[in-house]
Amino acid sequence: MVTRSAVKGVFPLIGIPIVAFWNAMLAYQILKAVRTVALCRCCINGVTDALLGVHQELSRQLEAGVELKKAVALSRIKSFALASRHDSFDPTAMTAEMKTAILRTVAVAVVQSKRFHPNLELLMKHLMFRLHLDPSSIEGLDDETVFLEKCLPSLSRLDSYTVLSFMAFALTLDGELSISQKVRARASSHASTPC
Amino acid sequence: METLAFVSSYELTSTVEELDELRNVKDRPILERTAAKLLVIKGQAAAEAVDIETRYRMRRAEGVLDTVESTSETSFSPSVILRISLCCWFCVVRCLCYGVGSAGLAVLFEKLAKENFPVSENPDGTTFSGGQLYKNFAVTYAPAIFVSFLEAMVIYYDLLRTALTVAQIAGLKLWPADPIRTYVSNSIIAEALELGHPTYVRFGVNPLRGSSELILKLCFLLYKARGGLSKFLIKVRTPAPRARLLGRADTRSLLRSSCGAW
Repeated sequence: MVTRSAVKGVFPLIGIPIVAFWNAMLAYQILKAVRTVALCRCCINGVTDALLGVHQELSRQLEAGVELKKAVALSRIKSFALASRHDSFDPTAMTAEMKTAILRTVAVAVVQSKRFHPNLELLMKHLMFRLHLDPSSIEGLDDETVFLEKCLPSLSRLDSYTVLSFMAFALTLDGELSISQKVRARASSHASTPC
Repeated sequence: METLAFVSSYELTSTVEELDELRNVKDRPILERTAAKLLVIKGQAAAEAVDIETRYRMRRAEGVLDTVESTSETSFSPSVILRISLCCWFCVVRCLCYGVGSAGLAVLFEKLAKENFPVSENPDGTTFSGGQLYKNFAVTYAPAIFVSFLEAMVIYYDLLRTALTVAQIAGLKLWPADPIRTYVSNSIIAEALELGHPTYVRFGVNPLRGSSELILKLCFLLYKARGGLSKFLIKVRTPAPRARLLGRADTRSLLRSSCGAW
């Protein structure tokens, strides 16, 4: 009898911790998404400029006769901040195929996440501005098959390295990395020329 | 120069369109509309004449962080990360407290109603008359529902405030507003209020490319079903004949959880 009345007395109170933890979980998930948007927003332009700067620096070193592996190692030693100071990025020095491949990477990341995350939208806008290229003028930009089978294999080793760097960056920008995205990223890595 | 002209025109068109969408400028009088558009292009018009790289450096010198031509942030200091984490965790704890308060108040109302307005059951012990049911609903559940709505409003207000604080700590300038800043703040607000991300075609990219139509329809149905289920949970309790469907304790707990959760 005591147990029964105790349960009867406690039963209405069970809802309190459930509602409280539900609220906490909801708040945590929302704030995680907010943090992703706010923090990535600040570094999208910086990281993009850094990647483009590193690509340009690597191209110069390759032209100067330095081996690619050594050049990549050197660029890793240099911090991203140093690379991002490289203001004089020249989009005309980059091939049209390379520019298209970078935009395709972001488009494929959008298709993989099945939504237009604001960070990816801003990345696309920034790339459009830096590469002087209109994405809507490229036919089949969001076609993953074209990207994997035609675009990536046709790139040089250095270009593949930069495009895969952009892919890794774009995939992490929405704060979530699903299993299918990991599998597809691995497929892209296999499709590219080994660095 | 052609490329420069193209980029500038594209950017200009894009920003004016965004402004139209975001601020609903089209509904304003012509003078206000023109002034708003002029404000948008004011900063860009002067820069169009100069070289694109000079323009880029000019914007950097101004310390603009959140526009297309922004400064290069590649990492954040540990103190900034710590402040953001603390801000978020405090908000989580506050939301937990709101839940405790709201559910506690609901239980309190129910207890008060039980003591002050005892409900006499029918001899068969399964249900009670319609008048008693409505009285019980008005005294017990109406305040609980009101408290739940109030709780949801307070939680989302707190989340919104925290989201803007996080943006401020991260160094995003959201004021004075221009189209891109408005876009940034809108996306942060959309995240805070769980409004979802767009799936329309933008820049020639269709996010739903290759998605099965069947799965899309199922997702739509599930989304609609969520609203329908909560309505059902509320409606099933109110009319007297339907009170037979569920036991009193079951219905009470379902209604309480539906108010709190949905």
